[in-house]
Amino acid sequence: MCMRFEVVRALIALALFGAGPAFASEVVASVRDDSDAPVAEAVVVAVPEVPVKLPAPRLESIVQETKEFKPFVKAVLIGTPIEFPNRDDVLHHVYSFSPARSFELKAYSGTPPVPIVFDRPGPVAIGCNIHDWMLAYVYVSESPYFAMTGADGHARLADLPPGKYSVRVWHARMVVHEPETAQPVVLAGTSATEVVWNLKLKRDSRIRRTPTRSGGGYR
Amino acid sequence: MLKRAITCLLWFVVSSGASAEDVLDMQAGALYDSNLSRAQLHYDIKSDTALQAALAWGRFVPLADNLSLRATLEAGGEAYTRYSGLNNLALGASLGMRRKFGLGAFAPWASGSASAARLEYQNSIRDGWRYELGLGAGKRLTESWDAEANFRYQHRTADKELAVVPGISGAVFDLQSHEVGLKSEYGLTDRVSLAVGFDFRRGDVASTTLRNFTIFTNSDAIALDPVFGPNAVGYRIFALTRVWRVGTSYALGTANSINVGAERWISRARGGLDYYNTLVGASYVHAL
Repeated sequence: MCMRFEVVRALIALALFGAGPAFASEVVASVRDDSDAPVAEAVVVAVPEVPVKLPAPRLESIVQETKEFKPFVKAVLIGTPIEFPNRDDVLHHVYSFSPARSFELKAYSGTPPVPIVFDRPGPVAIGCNIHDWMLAYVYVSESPYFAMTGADGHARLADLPPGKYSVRVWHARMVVHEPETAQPVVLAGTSATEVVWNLKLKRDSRIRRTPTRSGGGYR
Repeated sequence: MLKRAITCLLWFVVSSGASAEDVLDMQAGALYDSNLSRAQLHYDIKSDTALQAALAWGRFVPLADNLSLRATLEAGGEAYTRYSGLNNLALGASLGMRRKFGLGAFAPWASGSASAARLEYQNSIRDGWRYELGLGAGKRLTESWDAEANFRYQHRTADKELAVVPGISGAVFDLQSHEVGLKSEYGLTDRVSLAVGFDFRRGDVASTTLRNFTIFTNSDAIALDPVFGPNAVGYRIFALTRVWRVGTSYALGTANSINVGAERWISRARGGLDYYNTLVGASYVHAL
């Protein structure tokens, strides 16, 4: 009797915790522009209606190499510390004015001793005060369920517990505001739910690095 | 004094610390000038095309959060297809400082620079030194559009003074000028940018013509100028020059570009002496 009770309890525990993904759903997102071309480096976020406990954030990094930030877009969970190692043999002066996280790392080489903690959700644009063309984005997600699109414009958010979600997309050049992209999704069982966006993008008008005859450079 | 300054600059270029960036800027191209002789009458107007090359090598040093220094040694040369006496080499040095007033790509900036170069021509009548002082200020208005204003003082000295008229200086190629300018660049696409500019120059112009009484009475230096023929006479006159510029640049990766541009110079001097130049050029630019 006691043995049978233990087996049932173990099965329930397995269903609830150990074998969670077997009952989890996934969102397959497709992001395309208004000419139907796939959009890479878009961040897709699924925000559950019922708040979930967030995992402990891990240290991330955005490096400076050959006078560029790498990667160009990094999506992180709220509260994530990010370090900015300078792998160039020249100084970089990293800053952001974004409301979600403004900061300044004055001209330095190597890795600053204290990482920057991104503790408010939203996009953060990052630049270098010496090399004006250097640009990167940190997207800070308030939900643990997020992913970034690849070159094919697809992103897969796996292992989502069943329930109601608001699924949004963010891209550095999109015309609409992020909340306007929200789509309600109800996940049940183990099926995959497809979410599609066709985004109108602004033209890529990043500051030009290439020199011209008339100069115009930073030095 | 100048040698000492160049030696100090060379020492700085070679020994500046680990925080410094290397500067290696190279340009090569061709430039057509419709009125090389700066002449008014059609039979005096001489046009030619020059192949040009220039190199700047040095260091860029961030001195403080918003202050930087650039020190370079510079070399350049021109080779003309017809008037070979104008072929020249220039060797010099340049020092510039730039300050940003604030943080970020859109912060306004101001700069100052000084340079000196030795000029050696195939025909030595133009040999001399060129000194320049420059001031500039600018601001990026959007990611694609920036604008700047600048001031430049230039003094060219000539080694030789070959006076041909008693009592009148022969230092035709000893020239001074002040120039103010505006320049703006706009990125049409991620590869193509368009630049426009305007300069207003006030100063000496060396004009070479056959003997000409009107120019004679309005010039303050006269010398023979064999570069344009045995009977050509060079005159130094004071003129106001307006320069209109337009150009486009095509990016080849992050360090190289191809540039095409045109300039229209309109010079007005005393006595109704007007000179018009059209310059058209193409160049390849590399920057480390």
